[in-house]
Amino acid sequence: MGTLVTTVISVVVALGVIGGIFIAANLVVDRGSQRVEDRVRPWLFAGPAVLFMLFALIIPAIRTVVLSFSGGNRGEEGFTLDNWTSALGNDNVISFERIGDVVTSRLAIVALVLAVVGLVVARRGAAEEVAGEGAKGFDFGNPLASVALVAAVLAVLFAVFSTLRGVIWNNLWWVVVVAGFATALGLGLAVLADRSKNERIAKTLIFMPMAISLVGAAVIWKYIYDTPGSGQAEGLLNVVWPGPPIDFLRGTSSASSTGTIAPWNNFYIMVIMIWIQAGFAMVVLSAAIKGVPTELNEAARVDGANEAQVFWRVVLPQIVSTIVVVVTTLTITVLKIFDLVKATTGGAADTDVLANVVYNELRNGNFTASATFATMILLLVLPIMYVNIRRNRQEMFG
Amino acid sequence: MTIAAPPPVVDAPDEAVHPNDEKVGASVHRVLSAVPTTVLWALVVLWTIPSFGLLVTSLRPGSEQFGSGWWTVVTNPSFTLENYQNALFDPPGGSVPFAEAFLNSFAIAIPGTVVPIAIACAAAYAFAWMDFRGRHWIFIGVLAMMAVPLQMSLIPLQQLYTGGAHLTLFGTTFILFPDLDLNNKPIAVWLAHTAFGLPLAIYLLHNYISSLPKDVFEAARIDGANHFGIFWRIVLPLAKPAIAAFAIFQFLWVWNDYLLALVFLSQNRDASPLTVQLVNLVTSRGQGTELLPAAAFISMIVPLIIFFSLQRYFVRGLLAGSVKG
Repeated sequence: MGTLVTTVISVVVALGVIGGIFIAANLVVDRGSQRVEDRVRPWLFAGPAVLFMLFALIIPAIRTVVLSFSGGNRGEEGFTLDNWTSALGNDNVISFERIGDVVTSRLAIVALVLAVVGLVVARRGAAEEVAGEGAKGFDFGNPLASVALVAAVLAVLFAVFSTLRGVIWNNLWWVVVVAGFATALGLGLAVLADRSKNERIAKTLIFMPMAISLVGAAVIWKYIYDTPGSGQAEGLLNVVWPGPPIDFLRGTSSASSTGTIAPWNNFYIMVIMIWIQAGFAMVVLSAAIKGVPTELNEAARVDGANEAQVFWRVVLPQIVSTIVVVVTTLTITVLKIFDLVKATTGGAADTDVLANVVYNELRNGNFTASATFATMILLLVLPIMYVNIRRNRQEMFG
Repeated sequence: MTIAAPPPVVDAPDEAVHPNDEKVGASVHRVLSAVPTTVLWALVVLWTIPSFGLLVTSLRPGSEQFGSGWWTVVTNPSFTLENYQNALFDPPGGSVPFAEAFLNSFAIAIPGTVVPIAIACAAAYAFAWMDFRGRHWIFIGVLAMMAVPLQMSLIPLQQLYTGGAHLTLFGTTFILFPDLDLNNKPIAVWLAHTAFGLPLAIYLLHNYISSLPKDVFEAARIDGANHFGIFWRIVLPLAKPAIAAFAIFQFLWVWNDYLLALVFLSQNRDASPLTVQLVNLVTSRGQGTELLPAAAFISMIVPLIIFFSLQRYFVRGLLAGSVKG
């Protein structure tokens, strides 16, 4: 109880002191001339925030970048590219070794089949639309064509990321899987909810995981993935799973010839994140779908469009910008994924991600290496940040 | 679609909606229209099973937990609150009781929420309604900082906390930040949370405060109010919904945070919050495993209460703040 009382008192005192200085400074400025007032007052209001961000965000970010180009564990040795060359030259970080296997993998073949199906359907769709004049181009408004093509792209990405190994590939795999599946699931759930009874209760229950910590989620799913053994009961997934039990998180499995399902154990950690983020995607997309003017839907129905056509050709084009927001948001979140990996495998068994390396190197006292990996995350976030700022600027300043 | 009065044609009420389905009977249509609801609720059940399973497991005695899955309670019901009691007050192996970790979490989350709000409100008002040089570019900087991964700040912040910051110019050393040795104290964590929460707080509050009608401010000016008066008596009360949305988002963010507590507080077990203690229990292997589900629920109870009681604000804050770094 002592900690809490001390905390409350210190917060009250701190706010009182800061507030007191703030009010007193404002009173002083009131007495000055109009010119002084116009110059000083804005900084009285914005100054504390600017100082805070300067000391805790801007200067540290610059220092971290500098540190990544400095020698020695603590950056005491001056400029060098060694951190970057040794990180990017490490097969555990990024490896192109098995790039040939991507083309021959089963997933690549599946992707090829799906792509052909998608293109054929799109071609026929285009042919039907301009019947008599000879088909031109492709029609991707058809649900089957677009689903097949999206699945083909996903299969290619899965083929790439499950074959090429290394922390960076793994982190990108996370982005693709979680952003892709959570958005798709969220969209599906939003559409379903839009046509269902008791929509609100259903949405609340699916959104609920968003409130709890990633660490808590990791504990919840431990009891789904557990293998039967000393000190633990068999997890629910292993009960319904055909064949011998699999340790879904660490990957050990007697069913596999190599004794492990790695790197596919990554996928089961990603499932936890999808479980959390699908609710987020659903809530955002559900709001967007409800924002589509009903006159549009009704006009399409009057013209004889069925439900699927209304969704693919009327609703979907209207919510594309919202889908982009959801995907970019999830991408930023997942690029920094740390808690889930730390609390499930700790980065062992081929599941390491960038943010976990940042933490481990920091704990090892190797600050320059840690800074290098942190800067890698920043570099990956940068393009998305740029797009976000441009969109916001347009909204705000025209 | 609005539901109009039933059409006079009694035997084919669905024709109005589906002119193409004339041959399909009304009963078939009714079955089909129940499909979305059924699929949705099947997914809801699927989504809820993991959490529900953990809740049931947390109430089972340790020996039962290790021997059989939670679903066996249907045939063999056996419940106890002992796990909660032990986790809260008497965990094995001398680890910190979760009742203490619970208070530690509050000791970080309360200042980590209140302080950024106080600082951000003033800044948001300045950015929205005051004219000063560099306002435009500073605000763009704030937007940019929202997405900067907090990993970029970990090492320099740790060094700042232990060594302070000094600037030597012309032979004189200025203390920019005093050497306070803050590492491994709760304040190290909530100060970091304050800084990381500011960009989002300023962004949210600025959006809201800048959309307030200009007339309100002009009327107050004519009545002789100065900037501080306007800020205190008009802006803050009007901005309450935005403040509430951010407050809930930030509180849960800080409460659920693991990384910052791990980096800045790991050497001080007595002050560590629930998330850190929970992972300690996960990785301890063996001792106290039966307390894990109960401990997890203790760490989730506050977020869940906030979620179910303040869902409207929660959704608003979460949607607005989901881009946070």
